[in-house]
This record gives sequence, C-alpha cells and structure tokens, in this order.
Amino acid sequence: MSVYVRVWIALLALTGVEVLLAYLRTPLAVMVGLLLALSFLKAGAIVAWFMHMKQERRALALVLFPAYFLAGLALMGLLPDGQRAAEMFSR
Amino acid sequence: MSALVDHVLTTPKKLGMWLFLVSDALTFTTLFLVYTYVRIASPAWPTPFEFSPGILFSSLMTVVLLTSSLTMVLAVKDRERRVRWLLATMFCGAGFIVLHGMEWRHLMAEGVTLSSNPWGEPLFGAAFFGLTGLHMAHVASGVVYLGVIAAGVSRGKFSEEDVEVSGLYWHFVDLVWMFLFPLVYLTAVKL
Repeated sequence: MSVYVRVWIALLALTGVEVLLAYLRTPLAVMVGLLLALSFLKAGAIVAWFMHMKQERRALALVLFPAYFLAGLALMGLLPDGQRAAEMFSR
Repeated sequence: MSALVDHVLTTPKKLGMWLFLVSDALTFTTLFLVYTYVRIASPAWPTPFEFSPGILFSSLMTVVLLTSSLTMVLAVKDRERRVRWLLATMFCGAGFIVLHGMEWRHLMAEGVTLSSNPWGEPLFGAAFFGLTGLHMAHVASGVVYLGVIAAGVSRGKFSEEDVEVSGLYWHFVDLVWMFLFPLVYLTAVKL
C-alpha cells in the first residue's frame, strides 16, 4: 500500500477519534485540548507527506513555520481580554 | 537569482505558493482567535449541533475533503492518469460545497443569520458563517484553480511542478478544515 493511502487512513482514524470525543460529550476544556493536539497532528501529517515537506530542504520549513507560530503566538495575547469581557458583562 | 533560491530553499514557484499559504494561514488564525475570544467572553455560547444527524453529516464532509487530498496526491504522482485524478479531486471539492450548502440551508431554515439565532448569543451566526464561509470560498476557488490546471494538462501544457503547486493549495484548504471541523462543530455538540 502506498504511503499516501496509509496517511489517508491514519487521518480518517484520527478524525474518528475526534468524533468519538464529541459523542462521549467530553468536558469542554479537556476536549479542546485533545482536539487541538489531534488537529496539529493531522495538519503535520498533511504538511509532511501530502505537501511533500519531508522531501524539501529543512531550510524551507525553518523559514516558514517559526515565523507563522511567532505571529500566531503574538495574536494569542488578546485572549485574556476575552476573560475580562466575560466578567464585565456578567456584572 | 532563481538558481540561488532553488539552492537555498526550493523552486521559486513552490516558494511563492508556500509564502502565500503562510499568510493565508495567518488570516484563518486571526479568525480562529476572534472566535476563541468571543467564546471566552460568552459563557452561554450555544451548542446546537445534534450528534446525529448534524455532527455525522459534517464528519461525512470531512471524509469527502480528506479523500480529495488523496486523489490530489495521486494527480501529482500518476502521470498517466493525471487529468482523471484532477477531475476526481474537483468532484470531491464540488461535493463538499454541495453538502456544506445543504447544511447552511438547514441552519438558515432554523433561523440562524449573521446577527441573530434562536439560541441566544447573537455572535454565533457571524462566527459560524464567517469561518465556514471563508473556507468554502477557498474550496470554490480551489475547484476553479484545479479546473484551469486540468484543462491545461489535457492540452499538454503545465509541468509536474505546476500540478504540485496547485496541490499545495488544495492540501492547505484540507488542512484548514482539520481545525474548523473540531473547533466549530465538535465543541458545539448538543449536550
């Protein structure tokens, strides 16, 4: 079986696990953590095999991904303000 | 210059697509963060999706999109049947849009609009349609993009690299759905 078919089956299986978490009505905080971990795993598989990042020079990944994650991390600085907004509106 | 880029990173065409995809990823990331913000700020966020049929229906959409990624990889690898695999990918993409459209119509019939819905938190509709709408626009432009590539390939134009670059875009659209499906649907399953 080609590696791509195996990756496809793995992605379907991981999706199945995610759907199972919803079926079990996992508590929201736990579920979000597990779902994010599974999603990054699936995204990594898509990038590595389907988008051929494994066959590219490592320099390409080093140019693209740290920049993306730093920018994303900077945006997350807004999230604590969501908590403040929740407290403000509940008063 | 192009030889230099080729030597250090990758071919110019692939680098161009990758740079676009990273900036597009940040667009989606921003929308996801806005969505996270309003969910944190709204403790009474609605959880309207029944496990059956709602969640199972969007799971089917996920399977269709994942399968389109497999056919896209085969379009790059299988020189002999390239056009056929491209058409299969476009078929799956179009199928995804049709299924998604059916789901949207169902939600609209229940009274979900951009500014109101039957379950309280008015921002739910804006968040839902904003995130899924931007993604659906990407799928739709991807189907057109692949159509152009398939038409060219069948007339003997475009190299394997051009097909691979269109594949990068298509897999990225699939990748975004890998975050949309769990975070928008699965975390809003009806308790």
